[in-house]
Amino acid sequence: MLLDETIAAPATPLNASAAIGIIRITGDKSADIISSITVNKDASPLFSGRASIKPRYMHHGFIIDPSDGSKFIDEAMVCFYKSPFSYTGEDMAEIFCHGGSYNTSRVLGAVLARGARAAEAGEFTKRACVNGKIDLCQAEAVCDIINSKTSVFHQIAVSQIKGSLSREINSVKNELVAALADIEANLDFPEEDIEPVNIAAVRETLIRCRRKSAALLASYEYGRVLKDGLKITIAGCPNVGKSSLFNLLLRENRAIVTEIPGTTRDVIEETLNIAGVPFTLADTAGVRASSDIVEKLGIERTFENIREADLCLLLIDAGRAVGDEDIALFAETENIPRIVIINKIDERSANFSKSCLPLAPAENAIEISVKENENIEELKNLIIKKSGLAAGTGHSDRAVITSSRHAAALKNALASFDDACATIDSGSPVDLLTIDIRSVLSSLGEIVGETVTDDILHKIFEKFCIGK
Amino acid sequence: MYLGKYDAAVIGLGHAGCEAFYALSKMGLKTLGVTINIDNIAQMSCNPAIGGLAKSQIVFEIEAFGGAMPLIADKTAIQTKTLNLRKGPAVWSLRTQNDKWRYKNEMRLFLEKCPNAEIKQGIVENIIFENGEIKGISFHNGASYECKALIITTGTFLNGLIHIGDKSYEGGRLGDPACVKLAQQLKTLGLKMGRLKTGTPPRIDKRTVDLSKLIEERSDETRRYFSRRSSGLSRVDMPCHLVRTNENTHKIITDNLKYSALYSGKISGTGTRYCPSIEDKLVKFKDKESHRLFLEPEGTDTYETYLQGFSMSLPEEIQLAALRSLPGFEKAEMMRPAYAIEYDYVHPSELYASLMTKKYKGLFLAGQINGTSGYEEAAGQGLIAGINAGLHITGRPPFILSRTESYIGILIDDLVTKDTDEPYRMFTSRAEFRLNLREDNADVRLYKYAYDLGLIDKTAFDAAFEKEKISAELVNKIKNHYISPSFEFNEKLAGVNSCPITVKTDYFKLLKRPEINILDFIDEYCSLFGELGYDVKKNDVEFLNYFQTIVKYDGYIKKQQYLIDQVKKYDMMRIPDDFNYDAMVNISTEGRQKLKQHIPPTIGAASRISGVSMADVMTLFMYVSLAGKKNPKYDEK
Repeated sequence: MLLDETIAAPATPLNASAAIGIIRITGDKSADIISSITVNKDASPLFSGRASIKPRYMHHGFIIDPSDGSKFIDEAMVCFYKSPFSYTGEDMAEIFCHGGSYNTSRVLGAVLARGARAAEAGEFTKRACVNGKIDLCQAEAVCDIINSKTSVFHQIAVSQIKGSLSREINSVKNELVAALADIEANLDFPEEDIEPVNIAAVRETLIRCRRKSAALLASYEYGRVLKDGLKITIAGCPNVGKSSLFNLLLRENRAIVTEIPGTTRDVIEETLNIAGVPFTLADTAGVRASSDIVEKLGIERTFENIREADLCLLLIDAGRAVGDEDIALFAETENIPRIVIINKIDERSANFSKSCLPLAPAENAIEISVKENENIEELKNLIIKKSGLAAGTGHSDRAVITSSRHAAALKNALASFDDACATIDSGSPVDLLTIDIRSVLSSLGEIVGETVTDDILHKIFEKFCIGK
Repeated sequence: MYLGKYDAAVIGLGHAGCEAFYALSKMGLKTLGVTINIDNIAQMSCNPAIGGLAKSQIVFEIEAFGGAMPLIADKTAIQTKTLNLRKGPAVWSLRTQNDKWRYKNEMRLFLEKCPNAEIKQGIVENIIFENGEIKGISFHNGASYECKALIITTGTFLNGLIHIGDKSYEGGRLGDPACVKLAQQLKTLGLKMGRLKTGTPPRIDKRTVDLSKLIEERSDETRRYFSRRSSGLSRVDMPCHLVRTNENTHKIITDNLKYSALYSGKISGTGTRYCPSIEDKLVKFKDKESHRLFLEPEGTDTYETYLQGFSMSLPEEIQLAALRSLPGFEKAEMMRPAYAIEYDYVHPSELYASLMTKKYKGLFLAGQINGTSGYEEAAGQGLIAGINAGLHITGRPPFILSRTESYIGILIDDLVTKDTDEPYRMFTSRAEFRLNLREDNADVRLYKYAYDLGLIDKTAFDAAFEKEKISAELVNKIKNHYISPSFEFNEKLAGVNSCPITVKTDYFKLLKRPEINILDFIDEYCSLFGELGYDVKKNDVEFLNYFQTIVKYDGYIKKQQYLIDQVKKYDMMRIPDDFNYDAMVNISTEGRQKLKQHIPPTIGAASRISGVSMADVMTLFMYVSLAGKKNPKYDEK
């Protein structure tokens, strides 16, 4: 069951450009995991097993790539806490690595590759609670805070689970239960009039169900986005009002705003919540030809950021004529979902003409004024709509995996599918095959939560006429 | 004024009662067994057979505890067969056809020889309580006996009502009276009761059937036994016969459905999907052109035979017409008609897993009274009820078998956590860990418990201990011993359709090949065992099969073992009786409702309730842990 798993999560926000990223691991395998991914500078292991790790001590080392032990991912400090002297009361470890979304994610990836599962919201706290480290009121308070942050997400998740996700899982489950019922009936009623199992057909069913499950697992990436927030990048030429829009959307003076073009030199990321939907909003350096080394680097990062964005807000200045650099940005964002925003309509210049913009057919540009706070609500609605998350619409028809627990369960299911096919191919007796099919079902059951045995018996007696 | 004083009393000496009686006596307790008809102890009211799928595994488990059924079944067998031999060993199942009369006579003698125990004929009409605890029982004739624990194993006798067509008779079984007063008292005790229905087919005079038109089914060539106490019995081979229903049979039955007690609305009890009557089969599976029936001998000293698959509640004349429509049965005569029987049962959710009622200390129920069907299911419960009554009297904690280690554990766990609305029958598919619950390892799974309880002696303990130890050692050792390729050996491999070896191959790897049977390579393996210093006899087929199974399914068994360890852990975590399910937040409405309805004793049991999600279980686990009962032991008080 899931309570025994070792889980891991970043303890610092992944999308902030923090100097340090902290990854927390809790569970029996914590010591093994940190031992397996850390080395000294000379590539010798940093630790040799749990007993060798001095607890509550900062150990300096290097994190290695789980798929290629000779590659270092990062330099880091690692601290181990021996049960029960930790936040959760279990064995725990913390890895202090370099910050930033990319780097911290890679280190987390290494931890997950070594057998930890990504933690659910509030899971560390739950464990602390189970182990008597904090009391229930505290735990619930923590969980409430975590939950409230993503209220819309939560609603989506709930509706998903009730609707399309369980529908899809159940359709896979039903096929498997039917196949299993055939096999079980053959095993339990050898003297009855029952057709022998068609193993080739069972194999086909397994392959088909595996494909469906794999597709569901693939949706986890989208589900994760849903949970952690879409990445929105504000891009445009210098001085079109990117940082002003950034500050306005955040409702705080996070980015420095001046009239000097090129004020923003680096990408600034912040978490934003529009109508309960989480986003990661990035302000970027204005794009122009520059000889300044720092500014050039900043512009490079702008392009990088645009390419990674789920949605690009392309800002155009209505206070001047459309320039070549604007046109170049249109080309750059062509394949990314975008909203073209014409800013400064309060200062509209006679030289500005919308028809000069290379808008894609049917693409609209929204006109706003950051300064006069004009059309900002409309912009927000457009962002929500464009993100496909507008209430009651969007992706609600599609099953999406949002929970790491569900993703882990699906991964286990896929492995069991493979075991089942291998069992068939090896020519082993069918009662062994039932073990693999049952493990698939039990993994899927972790998502939809139903007992299997009764389903199978029900199916057998519905299908076959059996009995004395 | 009591006529006698006992530690425990067992009401009913059917298949459940016999094992309970045996266990109590073996544990050294002064035991009274009461039966309504002393000539019908261990009567096989339905089919004359023991074992079969999942049931044989239960019989082997009873054997591990030294119980009566395996011994008597071997002794009185008239045909033996292992089903599913072509499938994996987890589903191999021994079945014996038995001589009904010899079975009950042998069982009666076995019980009479039990030390410290007595059998009395009588109808128990009243249970005597004192301060909510069992004090004694009194008979219809006024005699009373004192006891500290009571096991009720009344089968179909509680308010039994027999139906044949539009006629119904009170009775516990054709020819025996029902228990009416006791049923009334149980109702007044506040135990939740329900009504079930079962049936039995007609018995035919074999001489009136043209057997040449039927397909004969014989015993296996090699005799196997349920009990290690039975070795040396010779092969028995009384045939069974297969016959099929036809269009005409179906027409006679469906045309007369309105006269069937089952279909005229006379029967209110729920029948089992698992042993449907012929009426049910025809109504539910209209398109099926023919159904199989088996003619099974009831004994060697009679021509009476049992027609499996033909149970019904139609009037006798229609039974006869339907019967005579079968090929070879044109002149058939019935010796006893088929009938349906309705009876009261107690919902098993009234019980702890020890089979003691939650409401009354010292009152245990086992067998069909708990909503099960089948002799083996009854016997398994009887054994556990007997053991726990013994433990209760001597002030020891109850003995609970986990579902990970036995079919009996699965049976009882299913009953007490899920309850049942229809007669419950065991199937191997009910076992999550079927591969570990085999006939061949029942002794290894259970011998330690049996010995601790005083049910088996040191010799039986040593035998199981050695079997476990030697096989574990040999599994490791044969990995380091090799067979070199040779023309002769490869010829031998070719003989069983196995690929030749080109490099020296270890004995373990070789045996893992699905097509290799150790018995085909007995010389090679036994001589290796000899070299390694182990004396394994070539004819010790039971050991060799056990050994071969652990080698062949090594990986699967390990995989299951891991899961089993997990389950066991959660089965140890007890949920307090007064746990407040309403106090939990973050739990699904359905989950809460189901938990409140079932009141599972452990986290493990909670996880098996349909409608309770894994997330619900995690939340429950959190609250239970917080309730301060960390790592609690499974106990009942």
